[in-house]
Amino acid sequence: MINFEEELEKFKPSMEIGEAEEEGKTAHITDLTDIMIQLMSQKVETKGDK
Amino acid sequence: MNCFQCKSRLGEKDICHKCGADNSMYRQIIYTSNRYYNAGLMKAKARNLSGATESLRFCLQMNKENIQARNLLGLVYYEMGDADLAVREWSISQTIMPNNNPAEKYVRELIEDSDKINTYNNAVRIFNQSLECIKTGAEDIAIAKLKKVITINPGFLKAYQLIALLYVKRNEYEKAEAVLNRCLEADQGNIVALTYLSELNRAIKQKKKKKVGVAGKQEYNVRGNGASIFSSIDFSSYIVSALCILVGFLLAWGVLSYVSTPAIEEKAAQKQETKIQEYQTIVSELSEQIDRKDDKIELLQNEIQRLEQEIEEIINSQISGNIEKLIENGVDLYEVQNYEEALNNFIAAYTAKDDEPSPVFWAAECYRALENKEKAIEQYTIILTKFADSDYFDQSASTLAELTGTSKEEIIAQYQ
Repeated sequence: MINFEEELEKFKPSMEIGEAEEEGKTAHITDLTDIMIQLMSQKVETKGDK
Repeated sequence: MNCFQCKSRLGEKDICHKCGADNSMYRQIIYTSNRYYNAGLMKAKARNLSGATESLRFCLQMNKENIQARNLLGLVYYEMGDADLAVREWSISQTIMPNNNPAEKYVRELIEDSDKINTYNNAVRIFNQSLECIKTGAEDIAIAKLKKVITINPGFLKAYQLIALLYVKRNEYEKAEAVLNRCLEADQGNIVALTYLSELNRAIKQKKKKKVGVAGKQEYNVRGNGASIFSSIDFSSYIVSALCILVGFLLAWGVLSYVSTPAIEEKAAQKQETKIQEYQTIVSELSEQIDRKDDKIELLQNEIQRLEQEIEEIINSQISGNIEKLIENGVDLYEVQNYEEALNNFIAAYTAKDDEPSPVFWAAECYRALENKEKAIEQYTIILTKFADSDYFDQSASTLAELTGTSKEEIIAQYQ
C-alpha cells in the first residue's frame, strides 16, 4: 500500500518563475561529451608524460 | 555534425580532416542523443508527458547542446504545469545558443504576460503552503489549498498527485481515483498517478471482498440454517469458472514466455555486454592510472636516492672538515706544549675517522711528551702496522726504536 510519509518526501516546493530563470542562467551542466573530451585529453596527457 | 575538438564540419568519416581528431565515439553519443530526442518527441505527441521528460532528459545528459530537445523539454514541463522548470530549461537553452533560439520567444512571452506570471507564482506559493500544512498535520487546509491551486492553474499536475495522496491517506478512494484520472488525462504516462491508481485499485478490490464476506455472513445468519447455504451455491459453475481462469492463465503465460523470453534474453545479453565493456573501460583507465603512479614512484625513488647521496656527501665533507680542524687545533696546542688538550683533539679526530694516520702519530707524540711510554709505543705500533705506507712510518720507526732500545732497521724489518 502507498506509504504516505515516503511519498510526501518526493514532493518538493516549486520555484517562482524569476528564481527559475536565474538558476537557468547560472547552471553548470556536464554531459557525456564533456566526460568523453576530458577522458581523451587525460589520455593524451598520459601519452605525453610517457 | 562538427568536430568536437576544432568545431569544423565533419564529413562521412570519423577522422577530422582539419585537426585529425577521432570523432567515432562523439558521433555515437550524438546519434544516441538524437534517438532519445525522437523518442521524447513521439511521447510528447502521444501526450505521455512524463515519458517524454524522461527521454529528453536522457538525451540532454548525452548532449547538453541539443537545443531542440531542451526547448521541447521546456514545453513539456510547461504543459505539466511546471513553468519554473520550463523557464529554467529555456534559460539554459538561451545561454547555449543566444541567437535565433525559439526559447527566447517562449520566455519573453511568458515574462511579458504579467497576469500569467502572477497566476503561476500565486499557484506555486499556495502549493508550497499546502506542503507546509501537511507537515503540521493540517490536512483539511492542505486539501482546500490544493483545490485552489488546481482552480488557478489546472495544468499543475503535482497538485493533483498531492491531493490524491491525501485522499488515499484518508481512505477516500473514489475521490482519489477521480483526481488521478484527471491527472492522467493531461499526462497519460504519469508514473506517480499510475502507481497510486494501481495501489488504489488493489485497495478498492480488498474493500469489496470484505464487503462480500460480510454480506455472505449476514445472509447465512438470516437463513439461520447452516445446511441451506450449500444448496444456494452452484458448485459446478464455480469449478468451470476456476478451470477457465486456470487454462486462460496458463495459455497467456505460455504465449507471453514464448514471445518475450528470447527478447528478454537478448536484452539481458546486451546489458551484460555493455556492462562488460564499461568494466573493461574502467579497468583500462585504472591500469593506466596505476602505470602513471608507478612511473611517479620510480621517479620519486630516484630522487630519494639522489638526495641520500647528497646528504651523505655533505655529512662526509662536514666530518672531514671537522677532523682537519681538530688536527690543526691539536698541532697548535702541541706546539704550545699543552699536550693533554692536544691529545684529546687527536683522540677525537681518530675516533671520528680511523683511516687517517696523522691523529695517531700526533697522539703518540703527545704520549711521549707526557712520558706515557707504554701508550706512546702502542700508538707508534699502530702507525707501523696499519699505516705502513704513510709518511709517518719512517719517523715512527725511529722513535719506536729509541723508546724500545732496539735498532731502527730491526723495527723496519719487523713491520715491512
